[in-house]
Formats: sequence, C-alpha cells, structure tokens
Amino acid sequence: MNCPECGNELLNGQYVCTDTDYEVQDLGGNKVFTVYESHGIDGDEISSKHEVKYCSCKYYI
Amino acid sequence: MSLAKVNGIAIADIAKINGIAKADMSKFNGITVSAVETTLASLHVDDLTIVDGRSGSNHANYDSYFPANWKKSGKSADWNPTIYGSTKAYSFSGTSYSYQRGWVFGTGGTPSSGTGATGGMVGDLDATSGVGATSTANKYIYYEASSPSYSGSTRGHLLRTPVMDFTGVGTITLQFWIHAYGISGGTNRVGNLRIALTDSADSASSADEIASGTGFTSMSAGGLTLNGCVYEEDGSQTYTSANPTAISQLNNAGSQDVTTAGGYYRRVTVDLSDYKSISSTNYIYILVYSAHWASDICLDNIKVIAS
Repeated sequence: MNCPECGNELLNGQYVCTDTDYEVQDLGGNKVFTVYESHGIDGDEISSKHEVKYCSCKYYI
Repeated sequence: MSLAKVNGIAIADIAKINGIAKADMSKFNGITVSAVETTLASLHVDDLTIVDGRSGSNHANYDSYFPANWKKSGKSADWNPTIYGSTKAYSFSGTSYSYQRGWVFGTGGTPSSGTGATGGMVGDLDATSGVGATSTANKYIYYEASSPSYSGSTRGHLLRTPVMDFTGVGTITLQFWIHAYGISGGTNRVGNLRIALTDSADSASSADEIASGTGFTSMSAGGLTLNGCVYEEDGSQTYTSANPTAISQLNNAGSQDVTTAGGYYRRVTVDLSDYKSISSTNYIYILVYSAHWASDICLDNIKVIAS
C-alpha cells in the first residue's frame, strides 16, 4: 500500500498519546512525527494508542 | 423571486437558502398554498476560518474565528455563561493545550484515538445524507473531551445560537447532524448532549427558561427533548429513548470513519413549535459534558427553521 500523497510505501506504526502531544511512532516506539501538540494532558489517556500506517511525508491512516 | 400563475392568480415561487425564504408549494383540496420556510439561524461550519498557527493542526478553539452572533465556551473567559443555578460553563485559560479542548472546530480526525469523527460532512445545511470526508474542506465543530475538558459531570461546555424571534411563526425546528462515538471497553464512554431554550444571552438555566422545563436545573436535568434522530443512513431506524436528552453511542456500528456507513453523521431534529409566540428573544443552548476522555461529540450543519 502506497501513500496517496507522495507515492512512497506506507509503514506500520502506532498513533500514541504522550504527555506532551499526539504522535506517530514506528514499531520500535520511536517518534516519527507529531500530529497534534497538546501540552497538559493528564489522566489515563496518556499512552493510549492504536495501529496506523504512515509515511515519512506525515500522512497516516 | 419568480412569479407563476395558477388559475389566473399570480403566485410566488421563492427558492433561497441560508437564512432566506424557501417556498414549499403544494395543493390542498385543489387550492395552491405556500408554506414559507425561513432559516432563523444556521452554522455552516465549512465557512469558518481555521488559523491556529500550530503546525500540522487544522483545529481551532479561538473565539475570534467563530461567528460573532454565535457563542461557545472553551478557550476564552470572555464568555462565561451559566449552565444552571450558579454553575458556569467550563473555560480554559492560557494558550497551551486549550486551543483543542471544549468546543473546537476543525477538519480531519479529532486528536484522541478511539473516539470522535475522522472528518466533517460532505453535505451542507440542506444535506440529506450524513456521509463525511476527511478533506480540509469539510469542517465540523466538536466537543473535544480530552483532559481537562471532562471531569465526571462537573464540567459542561455550552454552544449558543444567535437571538431568534419566535413570534408569528407556525412551526419551529432545530436540526443538526451528530457523530457520537466513544471508545469501547467501559461505561460512560460516550458524552452527553442536552438542549435548552432561554431568553438570556448568557444563561441556559431554568431561571431564564422560555417555558416550564426548557432550561437546565442541573447538568443532567431539565431542557428539551431530542427526537427524530435518524439512526440509519437510509432513515430506516429512528433513535428513541426514555431519556433521549442523553445521547447514547449513535455510531455504534463501530466506526469513527465518516466515509463508511457506520460512521456517517446522524440527523437530529427538535420540534420547538410549542414555544412559538412566547417570546421574541430566544437562544438555544447545546450543552456537552462527559465522564471520560474518549467521549468526543461532533456536530455539523446546525440550523433553526421556521415556517
């Protein structure tokens, strides 16, 4: 499956809520890019995640 | 306006949208009659400008980008309305996370995973389908439930219409489209949405209600009944409940995805005709509150129609 924005192959990753932002991480837990800055999140939302496919151009689905 | 003749008599054929008259011509016992429909208020979210200055985010809470005659609680303390009694709507301060909490308008998905829509509706104020799209052209307004928006039932957020005159009209209907999907796996994962009708620009309280029961007496009591919620895209099912002012999981087909049937927006209508000719000063309030961060509620194409 390729990225509809740039044509590169989509990679498997995770969409994760951290205590400072919502970000896409690779399967090794490394941040790839920030989706939303959101300082001040607390409670049990932090660390919530779901699987996504992403591209280096910051497209994700 | 164009004129046509029926039985030698000139009649008006009016067809305008967004706040202007729209004629519904029909025949009754052979006599042509016209029911003039007027939009008293409307919120076409696609028209809003989103400029939040934050990289990669098409979401905004700032009052300066919201229609001047509508109001929402959230980012600014400039509007601090009463929900009931002395309880005020929750307001955020500062400039950090608050731009995407409370009532927000945006495009694409809401920030949290497992809740909210993936975009706004394709259709406009006269839409007959709740199909959505993820494009930046398809904006919507939503209650972003993430911290610090939610706190049990103690923090509510209000959205208010412009002032409307209900005198001299036959029927009055509030209509909007809703997407309500909360993450699975627990209770209280879907937000609550309630409606009030008062004559105050700053209060949804029963102290300012138009008629008995139209204002809130607590976070979870008072206000109007929602009905006619089209549950399925083809209108084959209607949402009814003994307590319909508390929204259940409407998009429980399991989808945040507004491009698939399970995630389409659902149309809600509220008949306000009982309150015609009571007051020339009317404000409708939409209250949201929740007990979980995964309780986003998304709205689009809000309008009040009189005929």
